[in-house]
Amino acid sequence: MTTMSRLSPFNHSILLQVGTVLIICQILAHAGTFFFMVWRYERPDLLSATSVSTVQAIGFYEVLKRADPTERASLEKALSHSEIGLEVIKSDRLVVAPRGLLPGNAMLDGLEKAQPELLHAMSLVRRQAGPGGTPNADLIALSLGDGTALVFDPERDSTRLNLPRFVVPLAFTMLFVPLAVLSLWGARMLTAPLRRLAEAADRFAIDLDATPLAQQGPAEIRTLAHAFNAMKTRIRQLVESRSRMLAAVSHDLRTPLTRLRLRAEALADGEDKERTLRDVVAMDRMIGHALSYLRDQASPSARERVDLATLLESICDDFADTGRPASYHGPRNVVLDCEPDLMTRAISNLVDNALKFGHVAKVSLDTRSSAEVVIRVEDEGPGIPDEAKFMVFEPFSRGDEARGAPETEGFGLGLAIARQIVERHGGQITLHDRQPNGLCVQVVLPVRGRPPVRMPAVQVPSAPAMRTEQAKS
Amino acid sequence: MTAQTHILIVEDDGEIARGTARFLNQSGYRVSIAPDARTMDRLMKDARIDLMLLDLMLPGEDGLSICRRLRASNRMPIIMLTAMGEEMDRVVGLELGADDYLAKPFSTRELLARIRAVLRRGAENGGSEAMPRGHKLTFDGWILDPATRQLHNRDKVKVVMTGAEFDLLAALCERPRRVLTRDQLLDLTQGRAAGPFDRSIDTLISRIRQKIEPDPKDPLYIQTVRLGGYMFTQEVKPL
Repeated sequence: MTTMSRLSPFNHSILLQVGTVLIICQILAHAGTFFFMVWRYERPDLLSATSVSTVQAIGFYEVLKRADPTERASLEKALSHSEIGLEVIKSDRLVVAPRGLLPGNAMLDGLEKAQPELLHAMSLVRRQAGPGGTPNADLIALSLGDGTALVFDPERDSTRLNLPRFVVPLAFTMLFVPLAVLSLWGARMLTAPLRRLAEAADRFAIDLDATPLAQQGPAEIRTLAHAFNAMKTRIRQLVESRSRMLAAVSHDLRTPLTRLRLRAEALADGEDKERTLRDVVAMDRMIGHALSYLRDQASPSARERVDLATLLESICDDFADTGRPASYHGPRNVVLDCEPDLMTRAISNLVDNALKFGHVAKVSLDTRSSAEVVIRVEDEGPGIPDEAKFMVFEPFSRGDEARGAPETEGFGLGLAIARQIVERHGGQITLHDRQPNGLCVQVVLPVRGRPPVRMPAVQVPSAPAMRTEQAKS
Repeated sequence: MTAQTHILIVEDDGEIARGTARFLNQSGYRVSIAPDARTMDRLMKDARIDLMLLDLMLPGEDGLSICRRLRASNRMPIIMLTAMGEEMDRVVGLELGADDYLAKPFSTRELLARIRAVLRRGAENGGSEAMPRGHKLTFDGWILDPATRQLHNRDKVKVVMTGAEFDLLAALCERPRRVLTRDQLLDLTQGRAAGPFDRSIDTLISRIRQKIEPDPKDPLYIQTVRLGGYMFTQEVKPL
C-alpha cells in the first residue's frame, strides 16, 4: 500500500468508489424529483385557482347567491352535514386575518388572479375564538352579501400533499437501502474481473505455472487479461532461458575446468601448481553456487522429517574433518519437517561463511519453543557493521568484499542461497552482533513446516536434455 | 590381481580422456578410451574391462542410458563422471546401478581413491558373505539405503550422517554379526575420503553411536569386541 492510497478511504477499493458514485448519483436524481414534487404541491398560489376545493367553493358560491331562501336553507343544511369542507357562516363571527401569512395568503393571491370578478367578495378570515373553532387557521371567505359568507379551509384541499412528518425519512430510507445494495452489487459486478486479475497476478507471483487468466468480461478487462497473459508468458520464458543459460554456462565451464585441473596436476609440485589448483577449486565452488541458487529456486524437492541435530552435527563434522574448526552444541533428537538437502546447503553456507570470516563456527540449537527451532551459527570474527547487514543477503552482493574476502572467493551467493532456502521453509534468517566480538547468524524455522511456497517449476535441464539443446545449436 | 586392471574411460572430451588415462597409466592401470557408446561397445567386445569411468553427457547415447543398458547384463563396476555435479544426477546415477559418482572437476587423488574402493568392493563381492550391494537394508526398524546414502530411524525420521560415517555403518551393516578389525574397516571405507584429517575408526564409531544408539553409553547395535574390533549385532535383512 503506497502513501497515496492512504490519503482517502475511497482509494482503497474500486468497488467502493464505483458504488459510492452510483449511490450519490441515484440519490441526487431521486432527491431532485422528490423535492420538485413537494415544492410544486406546496406552492398554494399555483394550485389554488385549480384545486378541487376552490372549484367546489366557487360553484357553491354561485349556486348559493342565486338560490331562493328556502333552497338556501336546505343547501346550507346539506353543506353543514357534508364532508367537503364548505360552510356558510355569519360574517360577524369572522375576523379578518392579517394578510402576508402563507399559505392562506398565497392561495388567496392565486384565487384573486384566477377569478378577478370575485375580487370584491373574497377575503382571508379567521373564526372568532369560540368553542369548536380553530382560531388560528386561515380560511377563505366569499361574502354572500347578506351578512353571511361561504367559508372554506384551503388546508383541507384533498389534492394537496398533506405529508405526515415521517414520510420524508421513510421515503429516503426506502430509496437509500435498495439503492445502496443495488449499487454495491453493480459495482461488484464491474470490479469482479479486476479482482480476478489481481488474484491471478498474486498466484503468478508464487507459481510461474499458474493457469493463464480467462479472457472474458468487458473489452478493457479482456485487453488487460490478454496483456497480463502475454507478460506472464514472457516472464516465464525469461526465467527459463536464464536458468537454462546459466546451467549450460556452468556445465560448459566445468569441462575446461576439468582439463585445467588435469593439466595442473600433471605439473611438478610447486607454487604454480598449488595456486592453479586453488583457483580451480574456487571457480568450481562459484559455479556450484550459481547452479544451486538457480536450482533451489526451481526444483521442488521432497520434504521429510529429519533429525535436525544429526544434520547440524554432520555439517560441522564434515568441516572439522577437513581441518576447519566447526562444532555443534545442542540437544539430540530434534525432529524438523524440511527438505534435508536444501537445509544442509543453507547451514553449510552459513558455517562456511563463519569459518571464512570468523575463524571458527559454533552451531547451536534452541528448542525452547514448541512451535519453532532456532539455529545459531556464531563466529569470532570482526562481525558486520550494521549498515552492511542488510546487504550481505543480496545475491551477487559485494558484502563479502567489505569483510575483506579475496575476490576469488565467490559470487557472494552463499548467504543469498541460505536465505532463499530458509524462507522457502517459512523461516527467517537474521544477523546479530555477538559479544564481545563476532557475528551470530540466527535461523528461526517453524517445526511443523508450512506448505512450501511453490516456486516456479522451471527445471534446470538434466544432462540428456542439455545435450539435445547443444546438438540443436 | 594377476593381470593388469583394465579401465575403460568413456568420455567425449579428448583432453580430459587423455589426461585421465595418462594419470591412471602412471598409477599402474591399463587404460582404453572411448569417445562414444559405439566405440565403447566395440572395445568391450574385444577386451575384458574391469572398471568403467563413464561421462554422463555423451554424443549419441548418454551416460545414464549406457549405465542402464550395461547393468542389465553386466556387474562391471561403473564410476559416473559428470559436470552437472548435483545431487539429483548422483542419485539417479546410483539408482541406475553406477557404483560411485564423481563430479567434474575431480582431483586425480580422489579419482584414484574411488577406483580403488570400487575395485575392492567388487573383489569382495566375489566372496558371497556380504549383503548384496545397492539394496536397501533394514535392522531393528531402521532403514539404510546405500544407493541414495540415506538412513531412516524407526519413526521414519531421516538421520543425517557424514560420508565417512555412512560408509562405515554401511560396511558394518553389510557384514552383520561378524567381528571386523579396525584395519578391515579402514580398508572397506577408505576409498571415499582419504584426507590428512581423516578421523580414526574409533572416532567415527563413537559419532555413529551418538546418532543411532538408543543409549550411546551402553551401545546395543555396534559392540566393541575386545582386542578384535567392532561387530554389528543386529539382524540385517535386505528390504
